Order: sequence, then C-alpha cells, then structure tokens
Amino acid sequence: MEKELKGKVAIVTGAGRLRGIGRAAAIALAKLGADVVVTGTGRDPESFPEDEKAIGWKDIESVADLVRAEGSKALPLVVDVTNENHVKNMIEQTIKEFGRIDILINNAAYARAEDRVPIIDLDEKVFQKVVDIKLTGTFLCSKGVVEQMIKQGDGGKIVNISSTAGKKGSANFLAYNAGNFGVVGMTQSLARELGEHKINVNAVCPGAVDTSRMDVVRDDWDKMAANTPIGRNGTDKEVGDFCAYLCTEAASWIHGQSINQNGGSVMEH
Amino acid sequence: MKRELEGKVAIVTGAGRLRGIGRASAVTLASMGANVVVTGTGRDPESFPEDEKTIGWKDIESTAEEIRKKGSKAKTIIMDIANEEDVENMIKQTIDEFGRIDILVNNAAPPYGEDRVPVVEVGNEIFKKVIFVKLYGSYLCSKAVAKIMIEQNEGGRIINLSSSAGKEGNARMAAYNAANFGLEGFSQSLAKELALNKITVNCVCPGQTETSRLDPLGRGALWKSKEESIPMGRAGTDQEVADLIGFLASDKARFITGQAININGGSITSR
Repeated sequence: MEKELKGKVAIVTGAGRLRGIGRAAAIALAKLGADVVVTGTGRDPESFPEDEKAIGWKDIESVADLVRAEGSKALPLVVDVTNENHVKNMIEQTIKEFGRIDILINNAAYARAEDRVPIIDLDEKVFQKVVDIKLTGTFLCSKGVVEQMIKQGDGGKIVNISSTAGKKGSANFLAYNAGNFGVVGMTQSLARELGEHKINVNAVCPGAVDTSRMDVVRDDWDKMAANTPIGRNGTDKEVGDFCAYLCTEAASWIHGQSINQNGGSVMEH
Repeated sequence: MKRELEGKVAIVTGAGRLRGIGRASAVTLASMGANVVVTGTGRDPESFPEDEKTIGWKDIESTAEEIRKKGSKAKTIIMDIANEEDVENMIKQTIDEFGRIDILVNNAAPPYGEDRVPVVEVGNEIFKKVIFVKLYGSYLCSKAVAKIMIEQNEGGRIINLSSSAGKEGNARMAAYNAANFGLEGFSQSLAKELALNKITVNCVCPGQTETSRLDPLGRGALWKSKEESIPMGRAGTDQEVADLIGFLASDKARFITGQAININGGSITSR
C-alpha cells in the first residue's frame, strides 16, 4: 500500500532536538511517506543536554538521518526563521532539492527560561526575541511557503505550534503568552485567506510535553503532571502524530482551528 | 499488520442513515478493526429519503452489513437512547455479544425540522425532545458505558457529536443551541472526572455536512450560499467527520481530552 504522504514535501522548523516536537513531527511525516526539510539554528554542541551529548547527537543532521531511516529523503538546513534572506534561501533549497512544498510545520521557538519572569524583570530584548521567533518566524515561513503552494495550485497544509499559553494567560508568561495568542490569531486570519486555495491552516496547542525544552522546569515536572487531569504530561510523539494527522487528506475539512492537546489541563477554545 | 482498533468494541448511536455521520463513523471504526454496535430508532421505511429507498437501504441493518464487509463484527439495536431501560439493555447486549466496551460515539439526535422556528413558536414538547435526546440520551449512554470502562480498567473513548451550533447561537435554533452547548459543558465535566481512568471525553463540532439530516435545507441556492460563506468554500462530508472521530478513538489521541474540536471548513474558528 502506498504511504499516504508519498510524493509530498514538508518543512519542519526547529527540529534539531533529540527530545522535541519538531523531531517527532518530522519523523511522523516521514513515516507517512513525506520527504522532509528540517531546520535548526545551529545550536552550539556545548549547550546540548547530557543525553544528546552521550549518544553523539548531531542536531538536525541526526534528525535527517532518522527521516532517512523511515525511507524518506531529508534535507537539514540551518535557518534563522526571523531572517528574510534565510527563509528565502530555505524555500529555494527546498525547491532545488525536492521541487515542491506541500506541508509546513511552524515549530521553531525561542528557548524557554529567561522569559519566565515578572514583567518588571523581563528584558525587552528577550521579549522581542520570543515574539519575533514565534510571530515573525511563522509569518516569514508561511509567506514563503504559501507563495509556492499557490503557484503549485494543489493545496497544502500549514500547522502552527502554539501552546496552552496561546489559550490562557499565566503570571510570568508575558512574552510567551503574547507569542502564542498571536499564533492563534494568525492561524485564524490565514485560514480565512487561504481556504479558496485549499491550503489548510491549523494550530496545535500542546500542554506540558516531555521535551528538552522543558528541562529547565524539571523541579516542577511532577507537580505539572499532577495538575493535569489525566495525571501525566504529554510526549513529543503524541504531538508529532497529531501534526501529521492534520497534514493528511482526511483532515482537509479541519481548518482555522487551534486544537488543544493537553490531557485536559486547558479547555478554553 | 494488526489494525489499530483490533479487539476494541465500539457503540455508535444514531447510525441508520445512508448519508450520515453515524454510519460513516461506524464503518470507519470497523475499518480500523473495531467491532461495532450500531443503534437506530427503527425509522419507518416510508420516511426514508429517495436514495435510501432506491438502493433498498435497510437502516442500521445495512450499516451493519458495511461493517461486516470491513472484516469486523456488527450488532444492531433498535432503541431510544433517552430511555433508561433501553440503554441498560443496549449495554447488556453489547457485553453479552462482545464482552467489553472501549468506544462510545454519542451521535443520535432528533431530526432537523420542527425545532427550527422562533422561540415564541417552538412547541414545548419539541424543545424538550431535542434536549432530551441530545443531552439526557448522551448522559445515559455515557454513564452506563463509563461504568463498564472503569471496571475494565483499560481506559476508553467517549466522543460526543456537538455542532457549530454548540459554539455560536443563531436565530431559530434555541433548542439545538442549548442542547449542543450543554453537551460541551457535559463533556468538559466528564473529561475531568474520567481522566485518571484513562478515558478521554471529547466533542466533535461539525459545520454544514452533506448528510440526509440536512435534506430539509435542499441543495439549491440556500445550500450553495451557505457553502460560499465557508472559507473552504464547501460543505463537509460525513466521511471527513468520521475520520476525525476515528483519530480521536485511536491510541494516538490519548493526550487529547475535554476538547470540543471544530471541523467546519473554517466557518467558526474563534470559539
């Protein structure tokens, strides 16, 4: 049986971590048959978490290998999603290598930590960075990809990674709340714009998910799990699988939605 | 390859229409490997739409045949989901036949029609019936199934069919709006209650869907103008809604609970 996304080309931004939604989404898409471009910022290996160091993880290069292990083609690219030229180059490289773009997963985000402080302690450069990567990054990548999808004329799928922080404000979350609420708004706007082109635009809003992004909050990890109705945090694979589902033909009537995947922690629409 | 829902048992209420979310869901769950109990009200064949009459459609019996064609077992039960004894009997028959229950799709609803009038004109019995079937019926079925699922101690899935009408009020839809908004509140509550039992509870909220339920709208200018107001520019299909239900029923969706997910081509996005 031919795989469902055979012949499709996907771009997943922010896909360099071993434990991360980007990697999980890239692999879930590859399992369905898509060729995948994976981007990262070119993280300093010195900054890698211990488990990545221990196995000799090589950021997006390793994710590309995992994509290839599923029988798909992969292209790892170092991209700053907030840089217009970088994004242009990403589109050009993708077209040069694979000839088309069908799927975009806007997953890149600024590393968690220094932004989780009271407003009076929040550095404006940090605020800027969080909002810039989430919003300008999603804008630039979507713009580049949409242009190509419209040219191709056979639809497409954009999945934005927002968060429970895109549904509900929390103390000391100012920048992250702004960025993620913004992603939800952009998802709604873009869906209304692109429906006629059969380009589906949706967001996934995960709750606490076990990724290395969350390593800075391991002290509170069990408490976060206990505060979630199902009594545990999520896995990157669960979110990756959902992203991949939204990229299938079967999900074509799901459009403009920002869907919570959080074990029941937030039910706000 | 083992199918994803092999060994699981599902109940889908209101699954007798040829063009309907109930039938499509039941067959989709069957194609994923589940054995399926389908319920209907025992519609009078005289009332069937023309396409059902033409092909000799036999309500839930025909849905059961489609399930069997997917290699799964099927059982049909004619019942009133808002009747306590009928629900008890449905559970008993399901357990007698299949030994367990893993998935419940609360899809039954009274037909579209007499309730779509201004509040000052709606018959009190009609209002009560919409609420009764949609809310009390979903409550009875969920309660009985949840009991079994808790006993089995292997989790489960409850999927309630709400609607765009569960997200936004509209003139001449008071009963249907009330029932669907209510169903979403019910689902949130039940999701929190059953979360630690690994039973997820979610609503699916379809917009304009191509089913015989919506035949009273016709398929002329009114239908088309409604389609044009949808960002995707078209109505959905029963199969698309069923595929989302299939995904929510799968193991992959185990971290999704308490949500009311729109599937509507973008017609409602902000609630």
